[in-house]
Amino acid sequence: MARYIKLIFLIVMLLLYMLPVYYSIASSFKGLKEIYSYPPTVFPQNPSLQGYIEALRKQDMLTYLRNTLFVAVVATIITVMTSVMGGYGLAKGTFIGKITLNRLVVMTLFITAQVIMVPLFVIIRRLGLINNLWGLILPAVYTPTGMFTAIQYMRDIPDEFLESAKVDGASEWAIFWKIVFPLSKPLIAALSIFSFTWRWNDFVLPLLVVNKRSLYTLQLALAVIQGEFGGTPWNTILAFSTLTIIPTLVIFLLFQRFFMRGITAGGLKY
Amino acid sequence: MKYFKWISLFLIAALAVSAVAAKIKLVVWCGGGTEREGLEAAIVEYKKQNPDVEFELVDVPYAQYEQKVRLGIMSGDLPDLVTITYPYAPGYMQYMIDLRPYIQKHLGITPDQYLKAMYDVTAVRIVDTKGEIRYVPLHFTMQCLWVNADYFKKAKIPFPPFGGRSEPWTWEEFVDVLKKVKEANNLPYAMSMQRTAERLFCYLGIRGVKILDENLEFMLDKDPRAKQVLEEFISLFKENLMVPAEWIAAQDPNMAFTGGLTAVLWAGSWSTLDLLKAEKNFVPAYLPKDAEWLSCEGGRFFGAFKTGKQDREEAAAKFALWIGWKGLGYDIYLKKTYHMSAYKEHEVDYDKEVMKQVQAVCGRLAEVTPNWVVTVRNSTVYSRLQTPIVSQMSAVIAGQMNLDEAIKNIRKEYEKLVAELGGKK
Amino acid sequence: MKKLINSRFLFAVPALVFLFIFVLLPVFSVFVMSFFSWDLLSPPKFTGWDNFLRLLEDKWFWNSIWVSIKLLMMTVPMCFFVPLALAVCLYKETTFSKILRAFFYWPYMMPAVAGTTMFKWLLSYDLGLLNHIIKSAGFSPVPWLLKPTPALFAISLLRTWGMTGLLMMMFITGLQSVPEEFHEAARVDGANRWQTFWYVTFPLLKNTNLLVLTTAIAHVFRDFAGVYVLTGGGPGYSTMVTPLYIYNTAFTQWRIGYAYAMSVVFLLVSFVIAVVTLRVRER
Repeated sequence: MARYIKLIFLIVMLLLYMLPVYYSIASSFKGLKEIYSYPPTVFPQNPSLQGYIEALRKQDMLTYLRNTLFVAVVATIITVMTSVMGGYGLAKGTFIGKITLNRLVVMTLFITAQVIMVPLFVIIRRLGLINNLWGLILPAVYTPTGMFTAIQYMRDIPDEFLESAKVDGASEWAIFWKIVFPLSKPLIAALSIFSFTWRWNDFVLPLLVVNKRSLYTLQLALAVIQGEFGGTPWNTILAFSTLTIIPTLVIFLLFQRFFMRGITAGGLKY
Repeated sequence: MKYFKWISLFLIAALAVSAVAAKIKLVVWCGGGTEREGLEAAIVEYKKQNPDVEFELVDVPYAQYEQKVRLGIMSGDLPDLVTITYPYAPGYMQYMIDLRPYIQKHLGITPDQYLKAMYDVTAVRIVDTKGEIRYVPLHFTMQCLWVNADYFKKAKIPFPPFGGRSEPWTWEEFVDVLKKVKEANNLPYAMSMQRTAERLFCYLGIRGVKILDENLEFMLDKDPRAKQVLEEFISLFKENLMVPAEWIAAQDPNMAFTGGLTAVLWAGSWSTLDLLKAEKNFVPAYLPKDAEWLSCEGGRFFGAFKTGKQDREEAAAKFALWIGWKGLGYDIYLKKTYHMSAYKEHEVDYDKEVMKQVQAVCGRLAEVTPNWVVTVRNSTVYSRLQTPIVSQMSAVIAGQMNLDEAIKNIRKEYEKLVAELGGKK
Repeated sequence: MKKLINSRFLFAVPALVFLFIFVLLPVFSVFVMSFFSWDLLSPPKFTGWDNFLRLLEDKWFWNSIWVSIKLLMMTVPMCFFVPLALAVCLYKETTFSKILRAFFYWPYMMPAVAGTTMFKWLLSYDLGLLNHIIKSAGFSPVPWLLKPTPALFAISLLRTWGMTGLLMMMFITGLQSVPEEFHEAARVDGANRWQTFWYVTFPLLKNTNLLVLTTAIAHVFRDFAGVYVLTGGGPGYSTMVTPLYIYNTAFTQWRIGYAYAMSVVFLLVSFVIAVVTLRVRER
């Protein structure tokens, strides 16, 4: 009985959640004429690849893909490492002003990127990172949500674990690598997925940093297609955005496979 | 970790990006989409004649264009050339080089002759207070109506000037036409209009009401007719002649019009390319004529930043004048983008018949539009007042506020602006 | 007595360096510039407390804070319980749940403009698919984006739709760190699934709960991309959330200093809300 309730719940939710997604993918296969026709069509009446052809023809997709992948992959590696270490340090370390510092991290959650955009631009420029892909990576290494996720996760690791290892004479470094890091696999999986998604979909930093077409990312290219004077080629935009989702989806499935499997199979030994 | 290999491959590939430039390379910031295509097409031709110049086109997202330009000016990282939409153009004039000496040099005419060749309304936009010419027009737009000719045929209503009627409608006639065409075709609405201060300005202007007068004095609470005329505008939504969703929720007006829910679109020459794509029988028509007959012009301008580098400024100005002067790169650009020319009596041979009609309709509207329409809208006060006007009117149409309150709020905003700018600029 | 500082803290240093340079430094300069009048073009002018005094009289600003709080109250319960329910259904590592997770995460991956535009099209009063279906079924169409409360609710739905993937993954991460033996043990004691979850698992997830709650609050409070595209703040000012109002002030009106003064106040309000939530939940 409970199983069926669960299944029905999942199916209903899935239908609700997929409606906009389906609609956008379906619309990416419509011609512009059909997108603007009334009543709206649920299935493309005259399926066309026009949007995809336009998206690929006008844009140097491969360059943008390469830039975006570079940024997303490198930033994700650095973000995951610094967040796991930082979360551990802030949750389990002892230092003056621990509570204040933790509260500060919570505060950073509330900062809108656009608000700090101008001073951030000045800093990036001082560091000579304009027109440099590292300018899309370094300013984004600290992610408020990623950091907070890591801190909260680390809090759940029992102190006794760490203390008993310490009694056994393990160094702090060894405790981190031998105990904390392996315990953090679900965290690493989640953070990797999050960080990849954030960098992949980031628009603010590319807007500030990049003044060269050869350094465009996918999101910047997507924003550019939206063009002028309301003349918006929606089928091209939707085709483009459908294409940009695929890598994130792959990463999602990949990282789940990598990190989440080992855990529940073996179970945590407390 | 077998995935490590391709990760590092990407690292290396991305680091290998390099660019070496020996000749003069002009960096151009422009809008994406058709604007870029138009520029690219023209540049191909230009490079045949000037093989020593290279170009790098950087398209900037339309919604963040001004942010990008301001950050560029603030930091000094500027491109050589930039395209700018008309409402922002006056704000950045002082950062552009004066093109007068180059006009003489490259076009062989005096600056005065140059200005006389274009519509007066455009000339007003590119000259600064000292008479220096800071921009060339890139394309020119004019508000006009688009009608769904099939609906009008069915309702047996003629429309001006290509639908069996030569004179523009009066406002009264126009409202009547909207009602009839709606009824005859059993439509939910009659007219679509994007929610912008510019459309409202145009409507009010036609009805003989000015938001700001020639001295940039705020008029909506002084002109006794203003309230009445605004009330009539709002009632168009109440009577379902106009689409409430467009002014309340900023719905794209092209959707209702191309989707066939409305018979008229109050837009302009810039809509041509979009409307062509809908493959329907859409025809440009005159705006109605009431107390006044006028329309609001707009478009993009092309300017060369003062970069302080003599050779680059020289090359940039040369290109700007080539692409901004009729008969040269200008025609290539216009043919590609289906935009109108800013020059009087300039025939561009477009490959679409409808562009001839657009030129005829909008050219006529440009001729009848008085200069104050441009000078007032060219002011900083007006350009900054646009956002409050739209939000306040939208609140009134949504029934969230009454008109008096909205006008009072806009007045407050106006006074704040005047204080902030240190005068009516 | 504990030491004032121990070496474990050093693990946080790299993250703190980035935090300092790319977040705190800009925030600090936002604080400083809130005392200036600045349009990015001409040099900033020091105006003392002017921006803050002006802010006291700006009714649209206080209105926007109220709108933000309303939106928060509408959205956060949905943003908490929907992902929780999904996570409970999907936390086990089966192929089925792995694939379903990807589907629910999908909306979070979608580029904001594309995702929101789809919502806008679906909800459009006269052109949208939803109202088309409603009309075909013989009911009267819903004025989704045309009336204040439905518009706010639409934004709330959009937020929940977009954030579920993120929050669900946070819950799953938490649930997976609870050892399976706990569930087993409870079940042997004769507790049913619901009881197991509510009395055994849920209390163990205290830190995850806090994480999800705070993240949900922060995201709902600070984001404006969805509102910008979906309603633009309308009808009237009824969905004008503070970040959107700040954005408009800064980047269409070019009152950077004033926008920063608003940001400072807004950050303080956010901070109060965050601390209160943490306090209440920590008890």
